[in-house]
Amino acid sequence: MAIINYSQKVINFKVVYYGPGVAGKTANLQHIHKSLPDASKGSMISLAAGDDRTLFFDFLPVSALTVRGFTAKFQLYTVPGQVYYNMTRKLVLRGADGMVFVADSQWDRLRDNVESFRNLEENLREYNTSLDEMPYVIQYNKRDLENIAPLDYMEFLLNRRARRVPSFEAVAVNGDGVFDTLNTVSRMVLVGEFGQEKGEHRETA
Amino acid sequence: MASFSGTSNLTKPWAWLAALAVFGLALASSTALYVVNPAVKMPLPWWTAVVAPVLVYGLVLPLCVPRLRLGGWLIGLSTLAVLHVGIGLATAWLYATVGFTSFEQALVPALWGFPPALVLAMVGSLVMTLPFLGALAPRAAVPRQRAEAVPPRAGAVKKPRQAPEIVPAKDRQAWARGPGGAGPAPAAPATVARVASSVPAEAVAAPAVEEPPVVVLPDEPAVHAAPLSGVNGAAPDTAEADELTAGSYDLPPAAVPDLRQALSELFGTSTAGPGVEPTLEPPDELVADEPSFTAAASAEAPVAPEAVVRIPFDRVVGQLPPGAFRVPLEQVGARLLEAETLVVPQAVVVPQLGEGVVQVAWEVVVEQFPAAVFAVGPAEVKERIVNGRLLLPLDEIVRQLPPDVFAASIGRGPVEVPGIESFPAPFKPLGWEAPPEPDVVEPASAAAPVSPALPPAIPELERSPEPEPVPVAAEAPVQVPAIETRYVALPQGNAEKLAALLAPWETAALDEVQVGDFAIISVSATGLAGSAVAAAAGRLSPVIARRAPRPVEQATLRGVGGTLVLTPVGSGWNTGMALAVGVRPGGSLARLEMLARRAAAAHEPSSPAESRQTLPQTVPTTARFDPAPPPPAAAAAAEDLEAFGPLTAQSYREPASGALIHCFVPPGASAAELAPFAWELAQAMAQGPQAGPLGSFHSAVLRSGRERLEIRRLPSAAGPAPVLVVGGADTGRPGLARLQVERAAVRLSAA
Repeated sequence: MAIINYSQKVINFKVVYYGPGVAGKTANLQHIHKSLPDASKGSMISLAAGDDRTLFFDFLPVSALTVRGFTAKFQLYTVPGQVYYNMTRKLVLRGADGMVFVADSQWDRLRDNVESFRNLEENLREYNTSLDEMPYVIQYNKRDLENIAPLDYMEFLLNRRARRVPSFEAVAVNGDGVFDTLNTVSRMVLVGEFGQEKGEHRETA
Repeated sequence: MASFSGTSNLTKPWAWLAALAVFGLALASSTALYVVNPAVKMPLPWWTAVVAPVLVYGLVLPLCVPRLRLGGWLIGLSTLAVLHVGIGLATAWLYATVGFTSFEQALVPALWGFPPALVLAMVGSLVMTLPFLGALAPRAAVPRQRAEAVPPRAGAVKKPRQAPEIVPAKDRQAWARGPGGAGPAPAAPATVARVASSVPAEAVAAPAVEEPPVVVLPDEPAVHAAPLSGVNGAAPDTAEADELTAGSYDLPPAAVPDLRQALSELFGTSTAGPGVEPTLEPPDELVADEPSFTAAASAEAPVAPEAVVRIPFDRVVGQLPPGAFRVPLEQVGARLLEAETLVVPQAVVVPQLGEGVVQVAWEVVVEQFPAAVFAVGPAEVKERIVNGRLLLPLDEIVRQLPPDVFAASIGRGPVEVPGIESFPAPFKPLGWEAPPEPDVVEPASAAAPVSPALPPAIPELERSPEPEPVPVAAEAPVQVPAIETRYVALPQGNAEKLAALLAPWETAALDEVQVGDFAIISVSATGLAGSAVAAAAGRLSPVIARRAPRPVEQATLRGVGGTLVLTPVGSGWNTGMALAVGVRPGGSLARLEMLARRAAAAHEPSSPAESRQTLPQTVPTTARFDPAPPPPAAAAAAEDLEAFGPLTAQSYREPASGALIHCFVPPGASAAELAPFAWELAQAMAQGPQAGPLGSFHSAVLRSGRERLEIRRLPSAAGPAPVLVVGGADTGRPGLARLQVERAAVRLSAA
C-alpha cells in the first residue's frame, strides 16, 4: 500500500525484487544505484553475508516523478533468496506495491525459480493478497550465459497464469534490461495507484 | 499439515527417554501439588477414574493419528489405559510415602479423589505415547512398483499432490535421496491416478512421476509450495483456464488441526530436533486435494502416446552406479537398444515440465539395457540410483519437444498493460538517451562502391508442382574461393582506436593483420589465439562480403570452441576492413555484439594509408541450384519459425554434391540466390582445422537491418550435410528465434 505524506506531498511506493538465490536481485539494485543521478537516489543499504549474498534485504530509495502534485518515490527492496530466510521474505513483502520476479535463466536453476515463485504466491496469500492483485513483472536474468533456457520455456514456467505480465530479458550485471524492468513495474504501480486517466505529471529525475 | 503416519519412533532412544521424562514429570507434579494442598478434593464417584480417561483417550486418538482404524484405536486405547493405571499406581505409592498413609488409602486421591492427579495422569499418558502414535497409522498397502503398473481408470480424476517443499539448492540431491537417504517411498495410488487423468493409457503404463519427499529445514518452518498455474486465485479468462479450474484444481480446504502436532510443539517433543527425522509425506487425503502445477502442464500439452524424446546417454551416465555393469560405463551406451541414446516417452516427460526438472524412473528405461551388461540385477541397480530415478537434461528435452507443448503460454500474444502509456518512464539513468530508431536498411549509397556489384534484385523463381531443374548459368560446382592468408602487421592505429571503443568489454588480445584482401582487426578473449580469430574472419569475410544477396551488417558464428562476431568496419564491407571478436562459449554475447557494432560503425579510417585497402570485388552469384521438393517436415518446421514471421519452404539441391539446402523465406520471396550463398558460407564454416581453437562453425546469424538470416549445417549420417537457411524479420527476440531454428533443424534432421 502506498504511503502518502500529504504535508510533504510525497507518495511512497514499495517495489520488491523477489526471486531465488543468486538470481541477480541485488545486481539489479546495484546497477540502478550506480546509474541514477545523485539527485534522485538515496543511499543503498545492503545487509549481506560474508559471501556477498543478501542476508536481510537491500534497500534503495529513488525518486521518480511528480504526479498530480505528489512526488512519487519508490523504495526498492530485495529479499534474500535462500530458502531458509522465508520469514525475512515475508517481512519484506509486507505492504509491497509492486513486484519484480528475477528469474535465473540457467537450466539448472529452473526448479529454484519455480519454487521461489510458489513461495512468493504462498507468502502473498498469508497477507491476503495475490499476484492477481499485484502489479508485477518478470525478469529473465543472465541471458548472456550459454546454458540458458529459451524464453518460451521460461514463459511456460513462470508466466502462464491467467493474467500474463510483461517480461524482460536481462543481464543485470551489465545493466541490460534493468531499467526496462524497473520502469515498467513502476509505471504499472502508478497505473494501479492513479488509474489509467492521464494525470498531470512532471518528470523530476 | 504434516503427517505423522509411519513415524512411530519405537526404535528411537530419544523417544523412550522423552517418555520416561514425561512420566517422571507427571509424577513429580502430581506429588508436589498433593503435598502443597492435599485438601483439594472433588466429590467424584469411583467410576470417574474409568470413564473420564477412556472418553478422553478415545476422542483424542483419532485426532492425533490420521486415518486411524478400529484396530489401531483399540490398541492405542489399551496402551493409554495401561499407562494411566501405571501412573495412578505410582502416584498412589508416592502419595503414601509423602503422606505417611497406607497404599490403599492413597489410591483414592491418586486415581479420582484428587482432581489434579487425574488430569496429570491423563496428560502424562498422552504425552508419553506421543512419539509412538505413528505406529498406529495404517501402512500403505500398495508397493510402488505395483502402483505404477496399475492401469488407469477411465476418466479417473484425482487431485495431485503438491510439489515438494522448498529445499536449498545445495540439497538438490538430498530431496531425491529422501529422509535418511532411504530409498524411494511407496507411492500412493493417487500418483497413478494423477497421470491417468492427463495422459493416454499407454503412457501411464510407464511409472508415474513421484514427487520427492519433503524435507523440513530445522531453522524455519517449511514453506508450502503454492500452485503456479493460472488458476491460483485468478478468475479464469479462457476456456482453457476454466477447464483447469474445474474440479481438481481448487485449493484444498483448511486441514483439520493436528492436535498431536500441537501437543508436540507445546511440550517440546516435536520432530524438529537434532537427530529427529524430518517431516514425511502428507497424508493422502491432503495430498489428493492439493493443486499441481505439473498436472496443469500436462493438461495444456496433449502428448501423442508414441512420441518420445531421445536423451544422449552421456548426459545421464554419471548417475548410474559404477560397478553395476560388466563393462565400463563408457561402453554401456554403445550397447543400448538405440546406441548412445535413452528413449523416454514424452508422456512421462511433459507432465513434469512445469516443475523445471524432469526425472524418469529406472523401470522406464531399464529395458533398453541389454541384460548382458548388468553385473547385478536391474532391481539392485535401481536401489543404487538416487531415488531410483534418473535426472534428465532439460535442455535436451525442451529442444526436442514440439512448440505446441508451450503454446498455451506463448501463444496468447503480447502482454498489454492498460493505461501504462499514461505515465512516462520514471527512471532515466545517467547518460540516458532516447531509444534510437530501429535500424533501417540503407540502400547502397554512392559512397559504397560495393553495392552496384550486388545483385540488384532477387529474381523470382517460378515453382511448379513438379519442379524441374532450372538452367544453371554457371555449371561449375560452387567451390569455396581459395583464400590466401598472409599476415602483414599493420600499424596499430585502428586496433587502438577500436580498443578504446570496446573498453567496456574486457578484451584480452588485440591484433590487426592482413588476411587475403581483408584487414582484420581481431579481438580475442582469454584462451583464444588472436591468429585463429583472424584466420577464421579472413576465411569468412570474403564470402559474406561478396556473395551475400544483401549487405550484412554483422555476422555471429557459433562453433564448438567459441563464437566469432564479425562486423564490417566503417561504412560497410567495401572498406576492406572487418572487426572480428572471438569469445569462448558463455561470454556476454548480446552486449558484445552491440559494442562491436558501435565500435565498428564509429571507426573511420583516419589516414590515406588506412583507406587504401583493397576493396573486395563482389562476385555475383551465378550458380543456380536445382529446385527440389521440400521434405514433408518442412511445413511443420515453417510453422515453428514464427519468430521470423510467416515463412514458406523452398529446397534446392547443390549440383555437384547433391546436398540439400532447405530455405525458409517470406511468402513471395525466392531463395534462388540465397541457397548458393548459404552453401558457400556453410562450406567455409566447416573448415574447422584452419579455424584453430574456434573449431568449425555450426551456425551463423547474419543481420541486415531488420532482417535476420540464420544458416545452420544439419547433421548427416551419410552423404553431404544439408543446410538450413531461415531468413525473415528480426523481431527482436533472438533467443526465441534461435530456439525455433533449432527445433526446425531437429525436425528436418529427423526427416
